Amino acid sequence: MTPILAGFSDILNPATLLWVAAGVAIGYLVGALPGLGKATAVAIAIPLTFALPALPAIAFLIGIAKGSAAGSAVSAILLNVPGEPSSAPTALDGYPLARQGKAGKALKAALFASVLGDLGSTLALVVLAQPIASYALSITPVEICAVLLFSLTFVAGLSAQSLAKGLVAACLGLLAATVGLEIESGLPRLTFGDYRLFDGIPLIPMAIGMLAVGEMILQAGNRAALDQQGAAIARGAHPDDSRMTREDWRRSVPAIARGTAIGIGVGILPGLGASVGSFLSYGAARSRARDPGRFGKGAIEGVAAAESADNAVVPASLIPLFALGIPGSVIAAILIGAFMLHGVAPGPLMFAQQPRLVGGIYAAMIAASLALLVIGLTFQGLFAQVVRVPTRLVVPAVLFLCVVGAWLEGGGVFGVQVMLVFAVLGVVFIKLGFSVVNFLIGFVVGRTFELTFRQSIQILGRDPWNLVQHPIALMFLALTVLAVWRFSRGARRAAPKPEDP
Amino acid sequence: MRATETLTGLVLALFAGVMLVWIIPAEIPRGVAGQLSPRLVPQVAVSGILVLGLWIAGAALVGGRLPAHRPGPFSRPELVALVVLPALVLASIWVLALAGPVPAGVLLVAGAALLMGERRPVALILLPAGSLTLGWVLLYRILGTTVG
Amino acid sequence: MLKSLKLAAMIALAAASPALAEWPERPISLIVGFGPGGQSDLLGRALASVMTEDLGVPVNVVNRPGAAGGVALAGLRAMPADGYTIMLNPSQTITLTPALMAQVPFSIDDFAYAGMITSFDIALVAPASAPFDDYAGMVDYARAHPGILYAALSATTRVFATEIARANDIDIEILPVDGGPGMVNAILGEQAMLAYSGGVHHRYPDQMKVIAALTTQRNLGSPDVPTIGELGLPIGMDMQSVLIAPAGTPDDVIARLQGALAVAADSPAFRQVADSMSAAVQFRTAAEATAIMHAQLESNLAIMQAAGVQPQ
Repeated sequence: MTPILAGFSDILNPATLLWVAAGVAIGYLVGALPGLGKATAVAIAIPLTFALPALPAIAFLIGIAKGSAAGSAVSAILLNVPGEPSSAPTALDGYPLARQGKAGKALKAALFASVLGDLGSTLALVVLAQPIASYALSITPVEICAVLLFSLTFVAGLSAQSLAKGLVAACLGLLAATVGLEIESGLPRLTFGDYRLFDGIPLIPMAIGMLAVGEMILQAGNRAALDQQGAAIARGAHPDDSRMTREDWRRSVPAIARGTAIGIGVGILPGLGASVGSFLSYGAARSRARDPGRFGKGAIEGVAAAESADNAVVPASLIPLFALGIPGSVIAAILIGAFMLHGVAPGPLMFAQQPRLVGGIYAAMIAASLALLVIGLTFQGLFAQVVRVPTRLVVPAVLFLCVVGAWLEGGGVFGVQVMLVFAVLGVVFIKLGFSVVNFLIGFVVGRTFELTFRQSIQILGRDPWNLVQHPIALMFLALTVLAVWRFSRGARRAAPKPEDP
Repeated sequence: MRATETLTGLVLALFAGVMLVWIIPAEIPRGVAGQLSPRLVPQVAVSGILVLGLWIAGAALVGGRLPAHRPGPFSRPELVALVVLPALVLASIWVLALAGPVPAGVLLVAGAALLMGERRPVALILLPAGSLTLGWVLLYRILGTTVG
Repeated sequence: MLKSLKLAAMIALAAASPALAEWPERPISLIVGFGPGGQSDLLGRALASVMTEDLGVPVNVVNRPGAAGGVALAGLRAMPADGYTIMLNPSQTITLTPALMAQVPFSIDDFAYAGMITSFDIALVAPASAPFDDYAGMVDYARAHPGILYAALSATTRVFATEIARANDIDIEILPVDGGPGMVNAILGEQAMLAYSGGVHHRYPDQMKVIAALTTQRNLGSPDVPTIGELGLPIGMDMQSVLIAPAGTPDDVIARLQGALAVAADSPAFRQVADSMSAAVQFRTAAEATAIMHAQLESNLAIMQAAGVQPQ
């Protein structure tokens, strides 16, 4: 234990602290820009990690991951443009709050929830990495497949108030995810002979198109009304509108606690990802609420639920990496590269061979949580002014950033074309009452879902009766049936109510 | 509104039918014996869309109850933006190939600002200048890549 | 008339030769056909920093992910052959794709090869807890336990399992996995008894063991383990990191690139990165690389044809 404690003191080195803060700041600021996100921030970071010693390099990358997860909430709240699909539920309540002149409050709720979710998950990593890890190994693709099926149904039922439309969007997302080379046989599917589609439709340009460009098109179409609102926001400002009141905290604390727990659970399982975590958390908060009608119109706990889970996924996804050497997420896979570069093999041996480094990484992660709080609070006042910028200036700037982001992550012109196609599709979706986010969730988990389904067939030896050996999978299958039953009944009873797209 | 719902459902069902009958057989190989067909998941997804599309159309036709969603009709300015903004991006990609990144970026940012009704010359100069500088710093200085 | 022609020729020469002699005079883009952070990216960046020093101009890494470098190769093909756009990629994208796909938007002749720098230790691996230690033991175990699972990353990698199963008349089932991390998960979680590894197993020396090398020469990282060819099945396929330029790149530029590659192979900084990635540094000249690429393509096509794999 002592070397780990010694590692904790390593973090007090000013240079290391500086790199943690720099990582969080770059992640937060790049994540806050619409159209740019984690991928861009990581691309900025990787060349720098070459020149750094092991601890600052790893701390820097972790700072980037944590900062960008929190930063993507900023554009979600202020512009209704989620920086990542995982921040889409944040926008559901954050943007209405911002349009009510409560941008400051929403940004603080998102930041506090991010920091608390992050800190809780980091502590879980520190305390539980070893015991949880052995549990993670017993999770086979069979369980993952069942969890994915449940998540898809649950999210489809929640975010669209008509289960049929939610499921259509999810099915379309699944269909879009099958474009490209099929993973088992390597055969091309639905590529229409276009080689650029062999790796599938690139996610980031697609998400930028549907979430950001589509929203900009709608805002451009409604700019007169939006600018009027903006002027009204500038006139009447109440101090309570830009801070968390006691009442806000009372509503948010349970949502944050639940969101952190959900984020940790989702983070440990490979292939689920932050989007599933934040949506499950948002859905859980809504279904637990006494007055679910407030959700979608500016419920502060909706913002808190989504962001706490979004950020809790990041440290939790490192649990399989640290304890077993299994990269469970994209950021974990990138971290492996950084570890290897510095001669450290991530995995159980790391605790025995490099305890001091492990202690340093833990301390850096906690420091990153605190840095996130400080950096977030510093920049929020500035960000909140974006609400007052007229649409005629917002649209060109956001459009430019979107094109840059799609260019970077989609391999040039092709990325921009993908972005445009899905922007138009996204507008049509929203106008017809289909959830863009259900489509994206279907797309994001579609590949993993199909892969784990194929793996399950092999692991079960093509005999469904072998499912009996997988009680967790059976439990989630039962929950899926329950969710379908509940949502189809709920839809029958629910009175028509206006919904924010 | 009810007509929109019915039409939406029918269009979805038609799309699913075309996918099932023509596009999936033409675009996805049959696969190898002894493993799940590559066509299976697309077929399941499309079948789901077919059934649900018919359900949406039927529910709007038969049931008096409208779904909780209101399909908002397109307003004229929205339709204009839906055509004009993507067209602007396509135009700037075209200019990128012809004249390079700076004219393309200026066209994109200044063009969008003009379309949004910005007429102040200062804003029309500063916004593109600021955006392009940011883009240049990010792409050329920090990431070391090129555009064009 | 003659005089002016002569003058024009002299001007042309004067304009052309310094441009070539002075290559490189502006920054070079080194394309990596994978996203940032992976093995190819990190090797590319390490190479770029050595080349920057050696060539005296910035060498910038540009990530163009897609189809294991295929998307980037299709783009590279159309770039000017002036040495300012080059690419580092695993050789199999060029030497194996034609065996699997009917339509490939590039061919081996679209490129010039400036040399090779690392080779991949491709191997058949098993979890450390597996009740067998070598190929013969694995075959016996599979005969007693039909249907053991082999984790395959792609259609190419499954060919090894189907060929081994056919040659020994045993039953090996395929567990499809998603890339190297998916393979690690399947082996560490003991969901699969066998797996294809592109070299990642060196990072898990206590959790994985090597059953056979799937290359034509023994793996540099495990020289005691025989190749699959030595074990009686000539289906080994090699893979190297090769430095690629568009076809028609001037010979002196290629020579200069080859020189930079040789410097990188001897540079401690590059070796450290390569070692950490478990990539074996093995320098090959431009001439050797070109010959290896053509031989590799022929051998791979023959193996896949014998296995009954048709390009789709």
